Amino acid sequence: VDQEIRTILREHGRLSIDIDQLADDASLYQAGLTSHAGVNLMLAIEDHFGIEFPERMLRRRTFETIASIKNALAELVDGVRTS
Amino acid sequence: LNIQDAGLDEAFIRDKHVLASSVVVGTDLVRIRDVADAMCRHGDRYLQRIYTVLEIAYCISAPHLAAERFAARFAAKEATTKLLRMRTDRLVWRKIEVQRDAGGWCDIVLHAEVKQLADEQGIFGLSLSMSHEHEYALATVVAQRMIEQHAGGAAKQPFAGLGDSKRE
Repeated sequence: VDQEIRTILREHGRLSIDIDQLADDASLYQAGLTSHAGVNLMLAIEDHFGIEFPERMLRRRTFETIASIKNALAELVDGVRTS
Repeated sequence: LNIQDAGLDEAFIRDKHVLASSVVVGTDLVRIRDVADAMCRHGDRYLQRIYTVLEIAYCISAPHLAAERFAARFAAKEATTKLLRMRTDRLVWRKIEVQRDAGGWCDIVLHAEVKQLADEQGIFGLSLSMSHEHEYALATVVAQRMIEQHAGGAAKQPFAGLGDSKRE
């Protein structure tokens, strides 16, 4: 899952740093994730995992780090473990 | 002014709350290509997640301008969240709406918890300006924030320090 998130980030995040070097708990916003790129990231994750983030998860902190995305997915996708 | 001559009670003047206001501002820039890509890739799911029915109806009424219009509206929503220095990190795109009148002028209309947040902060008189050209769309929102002030005393901004006013 970690690699899948990184692949989606590489395609949609438009980050200004090397995603492979990004720590799980590093802020994606500090790494250059814009508000609109955050929307694209959210929708791409939904497409990839076949889910829809519920209203309660629509928060900036859900998409703040790779770890927080993984934690959200753990609630929504079978077989994804929390960080 | 001599307080006694004016028939005013000095203690009343000293304790009287005087209302003043300060100007608050938010701005945001969005790359139009990013919006066009999202429309192409995610279609209605993208539009319905972010924009209201009224916004969608107006923006798609001129298909060749739709991406520019949506980008300007996204910028307006983000500019408003900056202006409000939102305490929560909830993503509230559809609670911030750009409404366009018959003359083409656009205003920001707040709904539900975003309206409540603005009211709690004493923010009123929102005014919106949007612009877009080939690559980018820009929106700036200004408003007034009421400041409770004791006559002759320091201004009291009950909602100061809620967020980072330099947030980008």
